[in-house]
Amino acid sequence: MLDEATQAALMQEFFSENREALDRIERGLLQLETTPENREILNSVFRDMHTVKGNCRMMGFERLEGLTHAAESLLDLLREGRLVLDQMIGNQLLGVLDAVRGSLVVIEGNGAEGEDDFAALIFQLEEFQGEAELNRSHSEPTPAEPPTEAAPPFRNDAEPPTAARQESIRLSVERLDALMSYVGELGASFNQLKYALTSRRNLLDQALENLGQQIYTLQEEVLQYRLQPIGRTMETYHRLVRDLAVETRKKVLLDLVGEETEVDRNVLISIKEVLGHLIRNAVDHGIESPEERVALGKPPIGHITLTAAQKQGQIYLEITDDGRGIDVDRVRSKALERNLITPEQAREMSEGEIMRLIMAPGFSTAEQISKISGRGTGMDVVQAAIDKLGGTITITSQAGQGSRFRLRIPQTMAIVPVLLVTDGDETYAVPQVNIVELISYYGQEVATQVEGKMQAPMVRVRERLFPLIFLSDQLTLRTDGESATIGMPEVLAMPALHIVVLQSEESCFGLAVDGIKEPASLVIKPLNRIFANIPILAGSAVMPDGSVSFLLNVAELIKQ
Amino acid sequence: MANKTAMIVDDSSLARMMARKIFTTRFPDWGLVEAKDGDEALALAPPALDVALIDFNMPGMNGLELSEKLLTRFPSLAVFLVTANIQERMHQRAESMGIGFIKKPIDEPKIADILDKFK
Repeated sequence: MLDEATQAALMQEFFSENREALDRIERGLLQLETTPENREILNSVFRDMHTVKGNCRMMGFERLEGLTHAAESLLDLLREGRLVLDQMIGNQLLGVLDAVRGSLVVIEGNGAEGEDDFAALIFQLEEFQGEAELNRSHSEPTPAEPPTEAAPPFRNDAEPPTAARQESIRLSVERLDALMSYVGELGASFNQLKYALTSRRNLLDQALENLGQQIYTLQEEVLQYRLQPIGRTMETYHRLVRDLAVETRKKVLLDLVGEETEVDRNVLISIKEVLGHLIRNAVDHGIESPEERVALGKPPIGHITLTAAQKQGQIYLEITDDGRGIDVDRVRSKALERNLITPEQAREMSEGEIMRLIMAPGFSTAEQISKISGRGTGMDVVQAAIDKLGGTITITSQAGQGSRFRLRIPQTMAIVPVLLVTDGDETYAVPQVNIVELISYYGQEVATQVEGKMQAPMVRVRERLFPLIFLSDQLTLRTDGESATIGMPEVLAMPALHIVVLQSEESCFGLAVDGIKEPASLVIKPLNRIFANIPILAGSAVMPDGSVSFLLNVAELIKQ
Repeated sequence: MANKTAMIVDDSSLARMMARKIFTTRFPDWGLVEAKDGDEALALAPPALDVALIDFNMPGMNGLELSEKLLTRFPSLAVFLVTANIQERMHQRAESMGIGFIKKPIDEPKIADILDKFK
């Protein structure tokens, strides 16, 4: 044990540091009276209280520790903005300072804490915290909390289990009222329609349009209720990374960005596993061992960043790591070994195309199915899950620098705004989010706007040339495996050309179709098993006349 | 054998003092560097460092951020976060970097536990 002189010196430091901290807290609290939301002051007051608490604990003064702990917890809520400092709270905290100072005097006098356990003070501090909890449960849940070491407010079990909470949603009265009013309008429109049908036929079109518009509005509104912040799902990956790091003896830091991004509940459930798989892969195959990293001149700790963002009804998810990257040569030889590609294809494929092979069924090998990378499933599962959601995945990687997996997924999978186009007798749907513009050329215009470049037709749109792809070619290609049949001579002979200019992940291109019909909002369903392996189709929808049309996967069209 | 060096990073002067007393009385063979926050720790870090005891909640960068920086500079450094209580996700993030934990307050047996492994 420490000798008496040491003990005395420590006590000296205990008093002087605590008193300084208490003085600073007091000054801070007084400043906060006029600027109650000053983050900087709140943070420093919190830290000082934290120090006092730590000191009391270190010297074994439990009652003081209890009191300062309660004050610290309250300050934590204040600095997180979950509670606003008002005069009552300010007075309470100043009361804590007085009590601590008084107690320090007692300790200085006889070396021990007094009998006061500060129960009344602590009770009042906890009352304020309770209020914050109440406020919190009324508002939207906050997914991401800033890093803090402070204890959870007074009850560890205050948070209901996540699973139970996910089963229900909270609806503000405002939203409920809005819903009620939409339903009311719907009823009114129905009456109009009924009236039009029975006595005023000329009002029919108008009544139908109103009703359609209102149903659409209602759909949009209800869909909003299904959206949830992705943060809670992302949080769970900290645990995954921790377990993998410990098991593989690697050092990894996972950073999360965009936790507030809102995603449809059902989509969330589906992507949870996909993201988990990609993160698992990043730790297992991407990040090197600390020794290897140091030898390569990299920091020993590998970084994985999971980013979520929302743009125009699409969710963008990105998993980047600073590991060893994908070894294109190894992927190529492995794909050859497994007869996934022919030697000729191996020579002709671009690096990007080769990388995509890691997601081909049958690519994952026994060697890869370690205990971690999991359950005997490969990246093809990821591809399948993303396809099912009507999304896309792109891979970029640089040897020695790391990899990036970028996913684009519709925010909600229920209803997609599309443009209907035709090829022959069939109707196809193009997601509106990808459409840049629609162009039709007739007669002579075709020859002036389309030119051939290395045999491939290109379309000129306002001084820019874009590749021109024919939907009919794409569809034929899928069935007989032959290459494109529409070349320049055929194009030039066409009396009319209808082009949908599309923007995919990386590039812009024109899609020539037989006809352009109307825009629509379709309920998209996953593809039936028979069509599931056709990459250019993303889903199917039942049309008003009972026929089935397919949703085109724009990113895949340009890839062919 | 060359002497080993440890570092204590804590904004509480009492905590630093306690660490110093423990080191001078019980582990005189060890060098001890003291720093009150992350910036000071990075500035004062000696060329060779074996053990770091780091408070989580400090002004400026937090203990986790400092740990990452120190580990980058000293890949084989044994890092311990000194905490009273820590959010679950912070705990997991620390563990995924191979960081250990000591429960506050620092005392002699806890330090002995760590340093004994370096004998």
